[in-house]
Amino acid sequence: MNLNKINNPFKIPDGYLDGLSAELKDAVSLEDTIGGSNEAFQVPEGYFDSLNAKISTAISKEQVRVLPIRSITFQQKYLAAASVAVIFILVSFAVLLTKSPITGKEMSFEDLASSEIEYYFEFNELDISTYEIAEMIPLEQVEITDIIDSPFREEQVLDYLNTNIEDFEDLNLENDE
Amino acid sequence: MPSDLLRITAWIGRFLLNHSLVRKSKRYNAFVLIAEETLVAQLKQKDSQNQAFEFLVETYKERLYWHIRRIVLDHHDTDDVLQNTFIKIYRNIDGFKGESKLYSWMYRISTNEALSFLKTKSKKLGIPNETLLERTAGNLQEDVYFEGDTIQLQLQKAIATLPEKQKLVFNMKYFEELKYEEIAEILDTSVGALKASYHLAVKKIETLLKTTN
Repeated sequence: MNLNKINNPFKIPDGYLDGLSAELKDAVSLEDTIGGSNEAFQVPEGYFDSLNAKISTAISKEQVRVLPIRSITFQQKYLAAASVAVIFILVSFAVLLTKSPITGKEMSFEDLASSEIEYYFEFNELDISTYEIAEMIPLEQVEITDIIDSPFREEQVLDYLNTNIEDFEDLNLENDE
Repeated sequence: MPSDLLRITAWIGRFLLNHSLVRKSKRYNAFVLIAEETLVAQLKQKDSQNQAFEFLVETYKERLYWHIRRIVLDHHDTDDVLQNTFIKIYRNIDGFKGESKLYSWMYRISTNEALSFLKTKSKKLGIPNETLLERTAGNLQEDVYFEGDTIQLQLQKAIATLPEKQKLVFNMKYFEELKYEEIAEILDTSVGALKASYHLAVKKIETLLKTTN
């Protein structure tokens, strides 16, 4: 049977063979330099055995405790009414305190100087990563003009990116986060 | 009955994960997909959630541990990051839409957690991120959980000098032996870009190791 007459049904990805020699060269030369070193990092004995219990404890601490709903007694009704009264008094007091002592006007977010807000973010450990911020603020609702007052041209943006960004892949936010 | 099923699936899952030859087969990939779908469904149901989560931790704890350890280097830091990773996975499993594979999603969370951890730590110490890593790699000799020889120590020091992305790609390819397609899904980038990053990383490591020897 002449095998050459049969068309080859197997395919390889485009450019596979072109990149193969470079990949092999990398693997061989690295192996020569490092000498096939084994794992150097160690873990404490029994660490993985105790890990499940540790994680379960951490998660149960995280979960909010839910109290079962019971029938409301007279005493509980009395307590609830008293709590509402205390909250009302505290809120009224808080409103009085938020008034400026100089102008007598109620203070709001707009009264804060930008420098005070910047100072707060600069010197308080917020512990929020960029992707957590991205989760909280949906980007579809944010326009660049919401953040920057002075308008700029597209060419300026491209110039900036060309000069300052080494790897354009870094600009992509992860999916599923 | 569901607990027996989970136990059997756990055993098969661990067997498959621990055998690199099986990991490369098509049947393995099919099994992983089916097992993942079942697992995700069980993780989202309140009655099976705890057992399914235990299975998830049991199956992936070692792989995720080593992935994080190679980024943060210190065992105690790795322990913190690993616990946070599993807590995040538990909290956010309802938001997992199945657009990527479950393990890629978990790897991505652990990568982000590890990188965020390093950024917070370097900020607290008032030093740049790169300095922190180079310092940690430099102190590996005194680490009781590091038993590498001179070349392994130099290798870790060389890896610490790489840019973040090259470091991730190098660790995932060289130590964790992940395929480019798997790394591409985890880091949400193209296979071509990864090959270039790996090649650059290898060249830099070789040059560094040759100059120090």
